[in-house]
Amino acid sequence: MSAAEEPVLSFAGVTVAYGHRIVAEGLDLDVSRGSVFALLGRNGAGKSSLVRCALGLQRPGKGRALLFGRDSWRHRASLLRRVGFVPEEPGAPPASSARQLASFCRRLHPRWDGESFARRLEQFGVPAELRFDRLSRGQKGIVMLALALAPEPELLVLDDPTLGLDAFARRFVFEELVGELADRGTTVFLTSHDLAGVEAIADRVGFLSAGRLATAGSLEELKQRHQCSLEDLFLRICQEGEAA
Amino acid sequence: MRDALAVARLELREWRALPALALGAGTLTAIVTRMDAPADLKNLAGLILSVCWPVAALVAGAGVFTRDLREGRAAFLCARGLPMRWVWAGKLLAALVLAATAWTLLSAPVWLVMPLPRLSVPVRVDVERVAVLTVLLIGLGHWIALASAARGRRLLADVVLSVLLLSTVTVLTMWLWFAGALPWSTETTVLACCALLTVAGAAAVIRGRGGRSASYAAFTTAHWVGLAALAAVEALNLHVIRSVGPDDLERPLLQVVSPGGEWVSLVGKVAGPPRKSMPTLLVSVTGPDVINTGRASFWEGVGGDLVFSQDGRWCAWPVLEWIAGLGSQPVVRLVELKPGTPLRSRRTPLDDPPDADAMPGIGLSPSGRGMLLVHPRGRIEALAGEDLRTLWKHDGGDAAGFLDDDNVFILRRGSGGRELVTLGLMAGDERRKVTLGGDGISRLVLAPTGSTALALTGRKGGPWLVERCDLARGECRPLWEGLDEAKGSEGDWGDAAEGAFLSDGGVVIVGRPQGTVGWEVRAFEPDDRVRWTLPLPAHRLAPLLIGEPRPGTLIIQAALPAPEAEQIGWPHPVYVVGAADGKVRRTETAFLPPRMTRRWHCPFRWGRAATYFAGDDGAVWRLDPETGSRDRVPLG
Repeated sequence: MSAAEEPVLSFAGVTVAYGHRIVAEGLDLDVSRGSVFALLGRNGAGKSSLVRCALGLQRPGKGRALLFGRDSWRHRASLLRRVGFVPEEPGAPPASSARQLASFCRRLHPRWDGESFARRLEQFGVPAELRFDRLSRGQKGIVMLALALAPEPELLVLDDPTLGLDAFARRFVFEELVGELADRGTTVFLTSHDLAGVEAIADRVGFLSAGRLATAGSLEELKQRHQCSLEDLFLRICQEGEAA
Repeated sequence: MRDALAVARLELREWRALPALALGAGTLTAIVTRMDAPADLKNLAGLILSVCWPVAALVAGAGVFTRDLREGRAAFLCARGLPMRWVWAGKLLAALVLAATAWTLLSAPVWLVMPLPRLSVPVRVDVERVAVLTVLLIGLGHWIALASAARGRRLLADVVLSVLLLSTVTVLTMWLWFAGALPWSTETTVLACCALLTVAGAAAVIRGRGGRSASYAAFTTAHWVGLAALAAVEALNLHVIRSVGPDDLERPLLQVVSPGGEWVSLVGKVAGPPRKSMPTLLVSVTGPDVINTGRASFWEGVGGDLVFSQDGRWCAWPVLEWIAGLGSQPVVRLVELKPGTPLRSRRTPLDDPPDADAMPGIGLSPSGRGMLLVHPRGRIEALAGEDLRTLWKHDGGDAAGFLDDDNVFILRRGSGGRELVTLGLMAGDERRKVTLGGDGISRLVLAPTGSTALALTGRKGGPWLVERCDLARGECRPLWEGLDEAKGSEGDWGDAAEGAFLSDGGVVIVGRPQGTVGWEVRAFEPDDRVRWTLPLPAHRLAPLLIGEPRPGTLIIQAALPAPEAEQIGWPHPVYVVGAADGKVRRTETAFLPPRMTRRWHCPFRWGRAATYFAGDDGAVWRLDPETGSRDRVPLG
C-alpha cells in the first residue's frame, strides 16, 4: 500500500474500558487521506476516549491506534507534530494570552502560519492579549481551533468543536473552515452532536453505540440505504443500541 | 532542550503571581517585626505568616495537578507533540527557578531591615509543626487527587506505586540520616526527597506504561510542592533566626564568651508551650545588637553536658535523638558559634549506643579541631574536623580523657599504678607516659604551653591531691595533698578542687582541705613553693570560676553563709584576688545568679577586659574584674 493510499488514522481492534465499564470494544476503523470523517454517538458513548487513543494521549486496553501507519501511543511526540487538535474542553495555560500561546506553539512548528492565526482571532473578535481563562467558552474554542490550524496540519482532529460556539462561529467551522481544509486535502476526524453541520461537510460517518461501531460508511450511501436524513439515522441507531 | 526551556518559560509565566505574593509576605513579615504591637499580636501575625506560605505551596501544587489531570495527560502540551521528558524537565526547571525566586523575595525584606535593633522583637513561629502540617496536607491532597483521577486499574496501580515510592523515599532518607550519611536538617531531608523523587518520577514517566498521566502529574506536583515546602522551611527558619532574641529565652542555661569578649553565646529554652523533647535555642549575641541566633537540637534532660572550645567558637554535646517510629539514635552534635552566620549543627552517630542516662563525656580541643569522646565503658574515641570523622578508638583507657590541639591525654591502669598517657590526636600513637600518685582522676588542667598539667587525683578511701605533671619528662609531683573528696552541701558541686595556671608560670588552686570548713585558695610559685594562702569562709564555692582575666588578677566566685546571703538577696558575690599577693577584695556590686548549679554554670568565661554572666532573668551582665562594677548588656 502506497503512502497516499494508507489510512491517515486507523483503529485496529481498539478496546477502551474504565474499570468494568467498557466504552469501546474491538473497534476497527480507517480514515483515509483527504476525507472528512465524523464519529457520532450519544453522550458517554466513548467518542472522546477514542480521540485520546487516536492521539496517543490514552493507551487502549487492547488493540492499537495508528497515525500515519505508526502506533500513536509509542510515537506520540513525532506524530502529533503533524496533527492539529481541538479538545472538547478548551484547555490551555490559563494565565497566558492567545498571543503568548501562539508564541509558544510557533517554536514547536516550523510551518506556523502566524497571519492566519491572527486573522481568525480577528474574524471572531477574540482579544489576543486577554488571559485565556478570561475568555468566554466560545472564544476559547476559537483560540484552540486557531492554534490547531496555524501549523497547517496533515490531520485535524476535532472533538466536538462547536460546543459553546454561537451560530455564526458554528457556520464558520463547518461550512467554510472545514470545507476549505477538505478542499486542500487535509484529513479531518471529528466528533460532534451538531448533526446538521456534520451532514453539510462529512463524506464519511461512523456511529458508535453500545461500545461498538454500529455502522460506518459514506454519508450519502448510508442515507440512500436507509432512506432517511442523518438525524433520523442517528436516532434509529441509538434506539437499536438501547434495545440491544 | 529548547522544548524544555519553552515549557519552563510557559510555566513561569503561569505562576508569576507567586513571587509577587512572596514579596508581599516578606514585606509584611518585616513590617510586623518592626511594629510596636503587643506580643500576642506579633505572635498571631507570625503564625499567620507561617501558615500562609505552606498553604500557598499547596494551592500551587494542586493547581498544577488539577490542570494536568483534566485532559488526561497535560493535554495542551502533549497534543503539541512535545516529548514527555522535555515537558517534565521544563516543569521541573520552572519549579526550581520559581522556588528560588520566591524564597529570595520572601527573605529579602527581612534581611534588608534586619540591622535595625528593634528587630529583636520576637515574632515566634513553630517551624516543626508548620513543616509537618505542610507535609501532611501535601500528602493528603496528593493522594486524594490521584485516587480521584484513577479511573482504571492501571491508573490505580500507578497511584499505589507512587505512594509506595514516596514511602520508600521517605524511609530511605531517614535511614541515610540515621546512618550518618546525611547531615540532619529539615531542609536536607526535603531536598533529598525532592532529588530522589526526581529520579523516581523520571523513571516512571519514561517507563511510559498505562497510567502515565497519573504518574506524570503526581511527580510533577510532588516536585512543585516539595520545592515550595523547601522554600517555606528555609524562609521560616530565617524568620525564626531573625526574630527570636535573647529576651525570648525562658530560662538561660549556659553562656560562653569569646576570648576577646566581643560576643556572648546563650543557650536556653525558648518560651512557649511545653513540649517533650523541645529543642533548645542557641543564641549568639554581642553588645547591643543580636548578631545571629539559631536553633540547635539540644534535648534537655536526655543529652549530656555541653562543652566549648577554649576560643569559644565551637560547642558540642551528646544527645539521644528520637524520631517517631524509628526509635532513638545517640549522636554527638557540633555547632560553630560564628558571629553573623546561622547556627547549623553537624551530627555524627555514635557506634557504641550508650544508655540514655550515661551519655559519653566530651572534650574539645582548645581550637575545636579535635573532639574526644569518653564512653561510659571506657572506650575512648577521637574525632576531628567539622565533619566529625573518627580518627581512632582506644579500648584500653579509663573513663577520663583530655586533649589539646595535638595530643590526647588518657588515664589507664598501668603496672605501677595509674598512668597518664599522651597520644597523638591525629594518629593515636603513644607519645609519653606519666605515672600518677593517685588512683583516679577528676580533672586535668593543661598549661598554655602544653608541657605541664595539673591533675586532681584521688586515692581509694583517702584524701585527694593535686599533682603537677611534667609531661615531657614523665614526672608527677604532689602540689597539694589532703583534699576532701568535696561533696558540697548540695551534693552537686562536683570536684574537690580547681586549678589554673597563671601568666607568670605560677599556679592557683581552689580546694577544700580535709577537716576544715569552707574552702581555701592557694597560689604556688613555678617551683611549687606556696606563694600565698587565702581561706574562704564560704560553705559553698564554685571552684570552676577562677581564672586570670588579665595578668595579676584572679576572679573567684564564692558563696556566703546563709544569713548574710539572705540579707543581700544575692548570695553569690564575686571576689577579686591579687594573684601576686593574695589580697582579696569582695566586689561591691558584682554578683552571680543565686540558682546556678554546677551543671549549668560551667561555661562561665572571661574576656580580656570584662567578664560576662547571665542572670536568672535572662539578662547578660558585664563585670569589670578590677572594680567589680557591673552593667547590663543591652540585647536589642
